[in-house]
Amino acid sequence: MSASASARWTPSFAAPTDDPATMTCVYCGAPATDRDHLSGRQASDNAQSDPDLWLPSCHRCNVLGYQAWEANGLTIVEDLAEARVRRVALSSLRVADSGLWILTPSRFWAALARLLVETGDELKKRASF
Amino acid sequence: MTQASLVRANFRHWPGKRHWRAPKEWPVERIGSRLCLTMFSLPERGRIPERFGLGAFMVSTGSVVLDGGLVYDDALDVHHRVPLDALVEWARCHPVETATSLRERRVLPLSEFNKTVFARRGYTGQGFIASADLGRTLALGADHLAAARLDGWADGFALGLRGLGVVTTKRGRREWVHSTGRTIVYVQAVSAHGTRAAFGRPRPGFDEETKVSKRRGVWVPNGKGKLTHYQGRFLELLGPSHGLSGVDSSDLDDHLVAWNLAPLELPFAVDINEGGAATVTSAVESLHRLTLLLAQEAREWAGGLDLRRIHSPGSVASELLVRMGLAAPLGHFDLDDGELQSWMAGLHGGWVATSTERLGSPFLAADLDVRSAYPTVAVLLGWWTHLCAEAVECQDVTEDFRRCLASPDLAERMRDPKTWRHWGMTRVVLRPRGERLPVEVEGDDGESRLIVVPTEADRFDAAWPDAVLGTLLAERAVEVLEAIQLVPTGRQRGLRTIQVLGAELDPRNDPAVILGRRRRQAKVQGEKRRADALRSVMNAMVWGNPARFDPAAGGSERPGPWCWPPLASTVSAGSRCLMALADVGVGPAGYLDTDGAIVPLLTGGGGVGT
Repeated sequence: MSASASARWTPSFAAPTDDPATMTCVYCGAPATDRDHLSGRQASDNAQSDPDLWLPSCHRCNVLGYQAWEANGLTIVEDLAEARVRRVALSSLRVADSGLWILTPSRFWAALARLLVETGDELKKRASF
Repeated sequence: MTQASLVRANFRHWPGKRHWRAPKEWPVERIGSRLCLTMFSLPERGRIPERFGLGAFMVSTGSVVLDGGLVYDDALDVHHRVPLDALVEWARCHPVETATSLRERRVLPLSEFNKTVFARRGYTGQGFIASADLGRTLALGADHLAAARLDGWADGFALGLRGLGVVTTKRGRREWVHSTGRTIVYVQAVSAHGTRAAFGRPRPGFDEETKVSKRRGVWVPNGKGKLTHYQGRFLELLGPSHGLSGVDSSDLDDHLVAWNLAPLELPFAVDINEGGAATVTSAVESLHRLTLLLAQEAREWAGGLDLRRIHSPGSVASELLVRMGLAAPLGHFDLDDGELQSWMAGLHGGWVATSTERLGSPFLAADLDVRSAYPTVAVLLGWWTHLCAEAVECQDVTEDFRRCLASPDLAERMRDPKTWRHWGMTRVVLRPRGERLPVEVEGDDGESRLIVVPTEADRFDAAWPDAVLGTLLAERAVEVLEAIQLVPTGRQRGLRTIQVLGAELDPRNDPAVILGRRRRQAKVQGEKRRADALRSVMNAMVWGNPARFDPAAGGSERPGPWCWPPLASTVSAGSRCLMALADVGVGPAGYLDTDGAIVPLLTGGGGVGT
């Protein structure tokens, strides 16, 4: 992550409702219990790639998300930039499939914007080589 | 049949309530709530006995496709390098379009598929396992097949899937030994096109040091604070398609067309080449689309039906009544076995007959049809009031019924709906002296059929409309020894309103009427599939389910969850009575079938005039 992008997209406040227990699962509508981090962990240090890029989820749908990554070959990380984007795409399609109206945590969109900008930066960097 | 021959007649036997199981309300699982392994396989062309040819699979969650591939027989790897190379090349050129990327289609031997995809996604991953003709697809992938000996799996099979165990020979008999933590799969046909399948108990591990066996495989809570072995989430698609479209066919193409999908014209077997790969792959893709359409339609019925529990229109009808909170009559009403046996004796199907005089020669005819005959009769009889009652009481109405049968305007009375409602569920004991009555006989082939023939008996059990039929056809009252009416009293509490395809099924109103109106609306709006589904569901609700008996252990039978012989007997007898009314009203039919008749026009012997 470049420092400039990080600075640009860090929100200045946090909403008090960012507790998944106060939300419903975006995939099935059941009461949420988990934070489903859309881009998963980095292989190198096992830290969340995008800590703020999460959606409220019940435990079963959270587990299903990991199973879906695994079935789709997204658990074996060879290229972090690619894996981040594809994982987010997969989760987004699952949300779309649910047909539910969803409520996102306060920092979600900023975190998504940061991921997109960083991916754009990465693509530009690769193209220049 | 000659006059001298002896046949078994009216032989239906009430099996008793001992093995009856009440219908239950199960939690519903959406297709998108788990991974779904859709699989399909066909045998190799020209191989006798039949053996696995090619298979295809797809892993998805809802509409999101994640993985896919081809499956081939393990022996192909060893002996047939050329076809295998061709399959690998075909797969390379036809990647799977997954949610996030084009992914190379996997090509796996059957044993590897069963271990890494089937067991991982369908067993340890607890996902759905979907297919059409699921029993055949599973059996093709099995190295061992034997009759199921487990309780509840009468006429079913136990399958040992390749890669999940080995075949051994013990005392000259082939046996299946499944690997530690793996299980056999039980398969059983249910309804006309449904399949029920489940994993058995997994083989425990054994600790050599402590000499103690250890639980292996997948175990899940049983809801009573204990663990039970995981039975799987198998989904046979033809069953729910039959239930939600009314398509009564084993041909996958008939179902695909009903759901506006292109027919596949699948061969019975495939060649192991690129063509075969394309065939099974297109089949599995169509099955995935069919799954999504079924899931979408299931959401429109009673707030969402679980596709795994829908095997036929009967299952849909059962789910609707369960969701309305109705208690099953066999568990709720207190009728003894003797009374139910009397009702069973009069439980027959539709009246089918052909006039032999008309065979082989064309004639001008009118095609008469009673619209929604069984639901109409059920509504006339007040079936809903009866089923919603708190209790039913047996009342002797012999004298009243004798008077009714003897009335000279009987045919006219039968055209008055009040007569039907008045007699409701009444059974009679007759002493026929040559009057024509419906009799069920067993043919040489062991199949039973219904004939309406001159009958003599000292005691003849029947539902009341059959007594009317006999009287109308003979033009004299059949002698009635006894008439017992089931009178509904009180009303069950806790009945609930549900939504079906946008119509409100309020328990205060007869659901057969509401569904009938919704069906008419569907017809007008060109929703043929829904109209057909509603017709089948209505018939199942008022006749199919009340007349249902399931196979039980030892070749015996047990009553189905909604079995209720008084309703089933009276509804079908009512329909036969309508046919008799047509017979005496417009003349003898050239052809009769349950709720319709072909009646000659302008014949010398009478008939309908132009």
